[in-house]
Amino acid sequence: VGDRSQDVWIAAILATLLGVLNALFLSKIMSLFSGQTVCSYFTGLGSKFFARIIGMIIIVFVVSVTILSLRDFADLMVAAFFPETPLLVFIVGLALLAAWSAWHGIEVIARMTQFLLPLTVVGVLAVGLLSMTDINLKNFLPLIEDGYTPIIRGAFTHWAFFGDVVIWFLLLPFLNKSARGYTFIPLSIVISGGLLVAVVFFIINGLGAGISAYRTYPYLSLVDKISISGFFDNAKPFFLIVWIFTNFMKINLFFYAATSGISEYFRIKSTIVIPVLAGGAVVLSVVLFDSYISLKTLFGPEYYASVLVIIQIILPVAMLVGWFIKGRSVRTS
Amino acid sequence: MFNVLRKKLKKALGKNKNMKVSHEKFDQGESDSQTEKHIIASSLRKNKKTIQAIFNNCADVKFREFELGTVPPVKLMIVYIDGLVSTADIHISTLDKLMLLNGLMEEVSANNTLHLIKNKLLPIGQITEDNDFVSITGKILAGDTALFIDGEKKALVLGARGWESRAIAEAESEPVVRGPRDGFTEKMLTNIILIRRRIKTSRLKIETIKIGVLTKTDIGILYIDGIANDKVVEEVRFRLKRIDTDAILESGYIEEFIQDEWLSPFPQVLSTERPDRAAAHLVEGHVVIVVDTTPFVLIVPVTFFHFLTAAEDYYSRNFITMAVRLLRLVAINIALLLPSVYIAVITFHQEMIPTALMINVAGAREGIPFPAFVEAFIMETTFELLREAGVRLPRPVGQAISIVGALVIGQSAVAAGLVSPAMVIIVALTAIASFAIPNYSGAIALRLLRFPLMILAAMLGLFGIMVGLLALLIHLCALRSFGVPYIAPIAPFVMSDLKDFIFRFPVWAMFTRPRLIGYKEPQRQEYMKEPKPPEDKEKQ
Repeated sequence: VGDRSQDVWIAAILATLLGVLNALFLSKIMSLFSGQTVCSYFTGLGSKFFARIIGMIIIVFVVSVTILSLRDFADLMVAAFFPETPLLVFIVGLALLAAWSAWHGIEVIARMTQFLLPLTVVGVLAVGLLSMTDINLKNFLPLIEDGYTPIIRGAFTHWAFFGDVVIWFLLLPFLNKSARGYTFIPLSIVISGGLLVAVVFFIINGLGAGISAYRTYPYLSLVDKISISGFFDNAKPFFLIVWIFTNFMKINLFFYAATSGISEYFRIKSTIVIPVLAGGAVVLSVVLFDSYISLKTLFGPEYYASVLVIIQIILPVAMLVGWFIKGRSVRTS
Repeated sequence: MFNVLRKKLKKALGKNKNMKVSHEKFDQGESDSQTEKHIIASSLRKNKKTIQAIFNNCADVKFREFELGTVPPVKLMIVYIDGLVSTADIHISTLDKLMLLNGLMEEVSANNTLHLIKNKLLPIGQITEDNDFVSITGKILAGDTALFIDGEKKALVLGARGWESRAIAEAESEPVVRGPRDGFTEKMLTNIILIRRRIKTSRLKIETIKIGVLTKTDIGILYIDGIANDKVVEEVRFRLKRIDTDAILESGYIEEFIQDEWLSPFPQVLSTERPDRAAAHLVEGHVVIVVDTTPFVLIVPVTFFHFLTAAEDYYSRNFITMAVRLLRLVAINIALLLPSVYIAVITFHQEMIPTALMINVAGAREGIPFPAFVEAFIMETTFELLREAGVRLPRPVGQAISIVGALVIGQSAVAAGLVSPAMVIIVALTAIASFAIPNYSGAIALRLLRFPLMILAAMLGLFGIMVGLLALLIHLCALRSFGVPYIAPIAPFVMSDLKDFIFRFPVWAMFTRPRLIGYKEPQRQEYMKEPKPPEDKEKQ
């Protein structure tokens, strides 16, 4: 993902730090809402218009991330494993699963994540470690070859993906009261950032910056290198399993957040929202992009990260301002 | 009186409002004392007529009229069901004591015959007075003996039950190498005693209710007061009382009535034949439901992983148990996944197999007319057929099945080139693995789920299997058993319960009860009293 030079690990670390800072900021804001969604909080303060705008932006963001993830996942499946199967099969498969788990509610999604997350982390790390036949530190040299611009650019790209934490604005009411310190949000960034750095390290170590720049899915190429005593040669299916797990978790959570957000925003029963949203997401994820290239361009820093600036910085600042104006007056009165 | 009633009842089936007493009333055992239509009379002749009308055409009901051996003799009659009462009690403790008084009691006033008989003559532990035909009928049917006394407006009900029942034998569905051999029987009293002998505390509570309009099956709710979660006990009571049906013939009936989610292949109630297992669960805070006429008692609430444990896990050394439990985890995966993974790999992901093995498998599949899915489906179905036939066949013919299964289906199918030898191995492994899962109803759920996964694998390869598994996971995460999440020690993650999960810590280290079930009184023993050699003791 993002720029491919041997310095991408620096970019990953930088992105994680940025993400943690950002998450600290977001979690501070979330702690103001005392367990309400953004919408209902600002509506409660009397600024309904403001609440409407913010709610709309977040919902649109969450829905589009759902659509993008569906498409991204399906593209990988087709490109790497099932070249003859239509894209739609994978999109429909995951969308159905997401709809069914959204039907069961947040509790089930949380439990599933609890079940799958350890398996996923172990899977990702195991694949990386198995591929590491030797340590090629020279792959990391020369440090900072092209100046700081590409690093910052890369960091910016990665940072955008940490913006996913804004779904908590929609999920706040489901949060256990004991977790209201909101330290878990920066913590989650640290964990996923650590995983990102590890993966990037494995890739550069195993493939070198030159090769990984050409590959669409460098981690998959890394997996291809695994060979255990000449017998166990093909670990690709395990990568597939891990990949399905991660995407399943992400899409489920976003789908659920979108469902609950929409049903709160428009006051529609979730039993109606779920099938409509699932159908819509399937159609849009197929129709919106011609090929993987157009999707990938969208994930570049010019588009995705720029949008994320709005979501992750401008929007929270606006909320903070709104809270200062409205919330304070409510509290003092 | 009752003949008329019964005739009318036949027409109206108890719906006629003029009817004072209906069949349904009798069957539900409600007494209707306001109308007093079925209160017993003081005349024995009338009572006899009534009771004979009630038990019209019931050949097993015995009426025996005799006289009390006092000087002005009093007419008596006992009514009982032959075979449900202990003959010795009837002959020696009742008839002998009442008839052969030889004029010892000379003066019997008409009023206190009943008290005389109850308090001085009958050496029987359980005697109650009753004046209601509905409840007397119910008691007779349950095995008690009714004693009608001429001139008394009450009858005595003698608790002299005793019927033929199977002796306590080894639990056939859950055998152990090491551990107690006694298993539950069909008699509820015996079953409760088997548990009571293991848990000698007055905190072990036993509540009984009757369910079934026709069968009136006795159901016992057992729990340990202060350890079992009150809400669960209350929920069990509520769900049992809600059952309104005509018959309960086995605990499976109860299980289907009280489970949380019926639309699921997974059992949400654990059934066991072993009293030690029931006792172990009681001590941990579970509720046990004993049903009369079946040796299978129910345990609630349970989680998925209870179906992977066996009683012997706690009797053998803990490292061995850990290894065995890991083996069972492998067994689950094989039983559930092996055929579908085979299909997926052969059909979609040949590159996954090492080349040398691939050449072998491909060579073996040379000339097989079916695609892998059809081959697997045929063989798996055949195996299920064999298994089912093996269970249902009369014992003497049982051997035929194994010969047919092993030789004809296995060897000949390969020789005829219908299936590949690899497929036979797969089926055999699946079968063995599914039998290695200790709980039958848990194993059969996984065996059933194998088939949809095979279809998914044939359509979408590994992705299909993953979709199936994730759907399964959603379902498992959504399941609850009496409020306890079904895959509990993992999700929600309970660190302290991992002590008895895949690992089985030594007994001295398991000092707390499972958190979600026995949290009311969490501590079982003192913290970490590990065994030490004697030298260490002296140093201290």
